[in-house]
Amino acid sequence: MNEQASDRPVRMTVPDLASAMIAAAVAVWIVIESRRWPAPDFVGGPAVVPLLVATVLFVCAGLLLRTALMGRSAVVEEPLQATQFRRIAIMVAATAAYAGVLEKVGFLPATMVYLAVFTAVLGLRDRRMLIGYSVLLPAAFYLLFAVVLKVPLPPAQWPL
Amino acid sequence: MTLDRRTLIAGAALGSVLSAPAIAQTFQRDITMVVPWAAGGGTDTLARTLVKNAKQHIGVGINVVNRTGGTGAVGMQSVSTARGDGYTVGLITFHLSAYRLMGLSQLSYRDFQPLALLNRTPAAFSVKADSPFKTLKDLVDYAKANPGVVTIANSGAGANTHLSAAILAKNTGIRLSFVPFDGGAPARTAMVGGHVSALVSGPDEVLQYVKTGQVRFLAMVGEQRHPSFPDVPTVAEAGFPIKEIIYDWRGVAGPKNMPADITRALNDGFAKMANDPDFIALMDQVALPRVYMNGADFTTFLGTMETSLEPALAEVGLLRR
Amino acid sequence: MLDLALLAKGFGTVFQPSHLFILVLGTIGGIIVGALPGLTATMAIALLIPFTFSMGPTAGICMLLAVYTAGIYGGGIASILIRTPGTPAAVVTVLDGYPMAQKGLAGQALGLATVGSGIGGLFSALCLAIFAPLLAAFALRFSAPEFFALAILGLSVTVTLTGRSPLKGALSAAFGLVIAMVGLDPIGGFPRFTFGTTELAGGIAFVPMLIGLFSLSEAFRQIEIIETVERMTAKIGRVVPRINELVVHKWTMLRACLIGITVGVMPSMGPDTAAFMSYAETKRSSDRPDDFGKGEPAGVVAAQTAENASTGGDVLPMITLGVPGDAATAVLMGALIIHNLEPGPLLFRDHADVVHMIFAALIVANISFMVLGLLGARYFAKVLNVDRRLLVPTIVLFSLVGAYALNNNPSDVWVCLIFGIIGYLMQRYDFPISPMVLAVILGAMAESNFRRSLAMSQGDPMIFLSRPIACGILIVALLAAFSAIRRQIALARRVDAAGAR
Repeated sequence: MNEQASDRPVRMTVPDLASAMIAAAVAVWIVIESRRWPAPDFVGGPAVVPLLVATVLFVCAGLLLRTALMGRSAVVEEPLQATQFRRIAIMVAATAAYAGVLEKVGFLPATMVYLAVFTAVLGLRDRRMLIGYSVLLPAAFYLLFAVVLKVPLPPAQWPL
Repeated sequence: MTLDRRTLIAGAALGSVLSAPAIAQTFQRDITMVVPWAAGGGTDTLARTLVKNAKQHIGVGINVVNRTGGTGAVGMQSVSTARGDGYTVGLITFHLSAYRLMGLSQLSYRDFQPLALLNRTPAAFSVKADSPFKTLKDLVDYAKANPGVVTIANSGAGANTHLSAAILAKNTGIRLSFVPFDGGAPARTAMVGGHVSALVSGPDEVLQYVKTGQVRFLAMVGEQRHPSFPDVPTVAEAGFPIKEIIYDWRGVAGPKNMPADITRALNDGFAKMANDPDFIALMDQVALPRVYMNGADFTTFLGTMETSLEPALAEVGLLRR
Repeated sequence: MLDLALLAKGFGTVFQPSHLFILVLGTIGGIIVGALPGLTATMAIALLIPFTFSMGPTAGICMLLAVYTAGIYGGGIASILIRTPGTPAAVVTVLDGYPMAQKGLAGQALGLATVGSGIGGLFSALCLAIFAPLLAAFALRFSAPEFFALAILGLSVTVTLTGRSPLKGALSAAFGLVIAMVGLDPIGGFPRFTFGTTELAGGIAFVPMLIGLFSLSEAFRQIEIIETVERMTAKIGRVVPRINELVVHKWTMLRACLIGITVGVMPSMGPDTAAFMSYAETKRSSDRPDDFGKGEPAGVVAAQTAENASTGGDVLPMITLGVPGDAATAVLMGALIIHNLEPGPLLFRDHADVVHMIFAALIVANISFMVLGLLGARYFAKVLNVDRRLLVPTIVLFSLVGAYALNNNPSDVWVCLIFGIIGYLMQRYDFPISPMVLAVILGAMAESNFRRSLAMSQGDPMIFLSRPIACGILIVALLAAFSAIRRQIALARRVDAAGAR
């Protein structure tokens, strides 16, 4: 998302169009999917409620599409700055990577790396603080939950 | 570390082959038992009671881990794909017999090494005390004359209760209206509240109500009468012989590829645990019929179960092949 | 009827040292989370569910109820000190609380806010204890058609739980209904919308979804705005109010209590509406209405008392009927289900001891935050200056690990993450989250009971009209939906008119 001149209001036309499309797509998918289900003996089979919801989705999508095309979408109060967007994109990616390797690498090493990246992205520059935090928090977390409270955490073993 | 563990296990395995009394040393550390249902539920309670005294019986403890999701398939799948070193076993339940037939998962008992059957519960037909149906025959006759009018509550679509009632309907050529609920308790409440004509459930679900006289059993599915309810006829005795007897069951299994000596050690260990007084006391208290079978018999039972389920699932339109 | 012997037993349970300790811990956590802008009571409950799980039901519920009540109170602290409401409901407290702080009366404002919240909460907990058993006893006669009607009533008003656009609220609720349908069909028992996967056969895991929507999404939002966090500079002063400072507000408090509990019981109206209505009513009936907004203590009392007075009202329909009225109670309901205590009339019959323990815990929780708030408000205020760069990663860690720990299922972490992103985008583009969450619960309840009813009647839809209770609730639902739509249209006109100018 690009930075805009502050005197022109940024409208959520694109997000509104996108959500209308998603809603319509989901509705179509429901209709297609529900035709494969067995027909019931009487009214109230498995497809009744899904088809009703699909109708609601269609109507909402249509109305939202109209609002967006008429240029009457709501105004974005705080437009997303490029730096903010980049920061969130990095953290979403990092979080996905963390979720992906959590069980394979083990809780402690994965979490320590993840937290170090996280705090650095958020702008923490004090290196001692950064390392202390990303080493001590996972350790404390592990001790408190896995050892004391017996909450099942992902396996903690080091890869060695 | 992994290498060390393997060496240890290999050593232990060798030891137990060489000297029979060394069986207690088969396991060097605690075993994990995966329960595919939530903590606090019936299956979980059973598992936790079963392993309470594991240390006395196999020399090491057994830790229960609840791994839920996918109507039990997530937890069971994790056992079937676990390393076959004997340190991961799991509770398997009735649903395993149905996954493949219902098209929910390819998982079946063939992916496991069954170790012990612990419990087998039949379905019981019951009605409210003031119901006009005095026997199962009354109910069937009435349903014959008025197709679809008899409503019968069960604990969920595809559950053993639902399927047992469906088999009865199929064999007698009647039409029943099945009303599935989300579990046994709400189904029972609907019957006691007079919102449905009858209930098919595990006998334990209505035990309290039968004792106070609010509910009456009509009949129970099974080859013989239920030991806790000797006065209640079987469905066959009530006049409707059924070939496909569908039980709700719970048992212990490990991954398929376990070495023979480890399988044997676990088999023996769970046999002892299933006969532990604490376990017996719990099962009696909640009126869950204790039926022990060793791994081999359990495997045969699971095979029969699938053959019985197939026509029942077809009858209620849940068979997917 | 309220069973006093069981209630006494409930107090006995709550006052066991370990439970009391956990409850106080929950109170402290609740106040802190409530005070931090962006972190809400709803989020705190969602985050804690997996961790309360290993404590067992009694201790876990004590903790969650303490977090709930204290979190709603704690929102006022940030309102007064940094003019940013800690929770959405505390918006009204800003109106007079912040001007008071500017005049150097921050301590007095905090004291009045604390006592007001405490008294409102106590009143509402007592009302809950008295009325819930009556309603539950009545609801025992309910069966599938009645529960269907209740779910429809809940759904008919979820659309009003919206931010600026009712259309987006409706779309959010519709997506919630789609989510509710994923998994095994509740009546037929075969898979719908599962893409043939085993993981989805049991539906989308509810609690990981909640953690994603309420907690992870907020963390993403905080990542976005990390540079622009307000810091607290106000001097606090004496917090504990004198008796006569309280006595002058007795009518304000009573009015706020009555408004709060009534608004709370209404589906889809929670602490925020209660605070608004109580504030408006107090201002209207005051002899000096012009002082409001300029640091009038009665304004703070009216807002905070009503906010907490609505908590018992919100819990009432959730615990007796299984119909949550707002997001916080929807999450609490999820917590109870996780602990194998499915809310509804059966809970009162089968787990009467737990229900009375809940009443006792709610009463004690309100006293607990009142005492801790009076003694420690000045220290709690310090969390406003905590370094967000350390706080936000901690929240994310709690979210992800909590999602994993609940079922030991790695795919739940993905559910949490995906809904975290969805929730962030929804917030960013004006789609309210609460209708979605309520629709997940109510949609499942509506569909299964709709079809169960038809199975009972062999397909005859008259079953919904021939049963008086079901029919009555459906008529109320129709009226509620109708008036909600009218209100929204009027509101949209006003917004349009304002935009045209």
